[in-house]
Amino acid sequence: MGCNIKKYSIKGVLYVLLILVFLIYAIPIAWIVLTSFNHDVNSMAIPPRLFQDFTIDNYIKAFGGRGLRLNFRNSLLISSVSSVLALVIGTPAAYALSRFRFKLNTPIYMGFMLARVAPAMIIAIPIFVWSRALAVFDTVGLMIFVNSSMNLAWVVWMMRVFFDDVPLQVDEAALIDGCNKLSCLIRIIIPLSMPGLCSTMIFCVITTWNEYFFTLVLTSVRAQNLPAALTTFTSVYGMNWGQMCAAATVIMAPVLIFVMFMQKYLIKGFTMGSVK
Amino acid sequence: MNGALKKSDRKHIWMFLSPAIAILFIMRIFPIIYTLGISFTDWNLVEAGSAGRIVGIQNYISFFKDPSFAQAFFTTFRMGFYSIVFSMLLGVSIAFLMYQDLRGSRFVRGMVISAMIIAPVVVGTSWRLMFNPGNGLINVFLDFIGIGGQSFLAQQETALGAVVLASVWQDSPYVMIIVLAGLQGVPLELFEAAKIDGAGYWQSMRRIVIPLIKKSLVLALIMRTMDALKVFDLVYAMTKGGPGKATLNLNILMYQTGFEHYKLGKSSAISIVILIFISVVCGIMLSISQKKGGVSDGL
Repeated sequence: MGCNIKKYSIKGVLYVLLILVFLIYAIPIAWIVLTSFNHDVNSMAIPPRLFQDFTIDNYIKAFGGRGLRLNFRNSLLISSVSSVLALVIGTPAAYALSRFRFKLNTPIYMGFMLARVAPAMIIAIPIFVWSRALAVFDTVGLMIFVNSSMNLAWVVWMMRVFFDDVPLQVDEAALIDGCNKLSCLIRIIIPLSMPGLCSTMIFCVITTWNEYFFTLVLTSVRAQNLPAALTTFTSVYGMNWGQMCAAATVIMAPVLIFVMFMQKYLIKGFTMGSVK
Repeated sequence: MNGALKKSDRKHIWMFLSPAIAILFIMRIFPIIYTLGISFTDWNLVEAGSAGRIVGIQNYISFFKDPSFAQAFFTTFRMGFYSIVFSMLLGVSIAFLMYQDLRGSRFVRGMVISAMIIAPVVVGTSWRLMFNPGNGLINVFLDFIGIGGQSFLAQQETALGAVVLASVWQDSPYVMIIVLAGLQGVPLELFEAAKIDGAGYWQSMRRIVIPLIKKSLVLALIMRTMDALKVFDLVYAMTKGGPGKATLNLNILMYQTGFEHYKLGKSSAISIVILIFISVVCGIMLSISQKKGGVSDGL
C-alpha cells in the first residue's frame, strides 16, 4: 500500500515535470503566433490582451504592402533549388566514398568533415569580395550556389552513412545483371536509400530556409530571404511587433509542419552516427 | 570491393567525386587560404589602393593591445560556457524524463524538437518579445510574483544572461535527442538484472546507464561546443552585440569589423582566430574523450 502511494506520487511529479517542459517550449512559440494575430494595441498592452479580437491585418500589411512576398519567393526558391543541387552533386560523391577503396578516400572524406564543422565566418570575406568582383552580389543565383555548397558536406556525410547500410551484395548482383556503376546507383541504390535521401533533403531545406549569416553578408535587397527580412522590421519601421511576428510565424510554420509529420526522419538525421 | 581497382572503376570514382570536390575547393579551401592571406594586409574597402598592402602579423599583434578584442574573446568564452553547461543539464534532464515513457511524451518531444529547428532569428525575436519591458511574459510573471520586471536586454548586466537563456532554450533539444537515442540503446534486461541483484534506481543509473550513454554525452558536448562558439544569428537578432558591448562575441565583432567598417584585413584575422579557438577547444575535448574510449564516430 505504502509502496503504491510512493509509486503514484513519483508518477505525479514526472507528469508535472512533463507539463512544465511542454509549457517552456510551447509558450515562446505560441506567443509569437498570438501576437501575429493581434493588433499591436492589444498585444503590447500591459498586461497583454491576446485573446480579445483576432485579426489577419498584420499578415496583409506585411505580405501585401511591405513586399515580403519577394522575400518569401526568394526563400522558397533558394531552399528548394539549392537542396536539390546539393543532393545531385553530393549523392554520387557519397556513393564513391562508400563503395570504392582508394588512396585518397579518407583524406577526401576528412576534407568534407572539416568543411562541415568550419565556421561560416572563415569564408565570408572572400565570397563577399568575389561576388562583388563577379557582379553577382545580391542575386538569387549566388545564394542558391552558396547554400548548396554549405549543404554539400552534410549531404556527403549523411548519404555515405546511409549507403554504408546497403549491403555490398546488392551492388554485386546489379553489376552481374549488366548494370554499370552509374545505372546501379540510380536504379538500385538510390531507391533503396530513399528514407535516407528524404532525411537529408529535409535537413538541407530547413537549414537553407533558416539561413541568415550569408544572406546578411551577401545580399542587400533583391535576394534577401525571410529571416533577413525579419530583422529589418526593427531598424526601418521601429518596433512593428505584429507584422514582425506575422513574418516569424510564416518562417516557423513549414518547419513546424515538418516536425509534426516527419519527426522520425528528423530524429534519425540528428542521431545518425551517435548510436552506431 | 576489395583488391585492385579496375580502370573503369577509377573513371567512375572521379566522375562521381569531381563535382563535389570542385565545389569543396572553390567554396571552402580557396576561401580559407584567401582569408588567411587577407589577414596579413590592412585592406579597407573604403580606402582605395589598400588591397595589397601587406602589414605582416600587425593585425594579430593589435589584438593584444585592443581591449575590445579581449572583451569579445571573453564574452565568447562566457556565453559559450554558460550555454554549453546549462543546455547539457537541461537536455539530459529532459532526455531522462522522456525515457520514462509517460503518456503524451511523444507529443511533448515533438514540441521540444521544434525549438531546435526553428530559425535562430525567429527564436531571437520570440525571446525579445518575452523579455520586452512591461508586457513581455517574463516581466509580467516577475511583476506577478512581486519581484518587479526589468528591461533585461537593455541592461549591460543582464543582457548576456538573457541571450544565454534563449540559446539554452533552443539548443537543449539537440542534447536531448542525442542522449535519448543513447538511452534507448540501453537494453531493458540490464535494468531487470540489476533490480534482481538488489540495486536501487540511482545505483543502477550510476553503474549501468551513465557508462552506457557516455558516448552520447561526449558527442553532444563536443557538437554543442562547436555550435556555441560559432553562434551568431541568435545573438545578432536579439541584441546586435549590445547594449554597449555586453553581448558582442568574436563572431559579431568579425561581422562588424568586416561588413560595417569594411576593414577586411582585420576582420579576416578575427575569423582566423575564431577558427583556431574552436579547433583548439574541440581538439582538446576530442583527445580527452579518445583517451577514455573513442567517440570519433558521427563527427
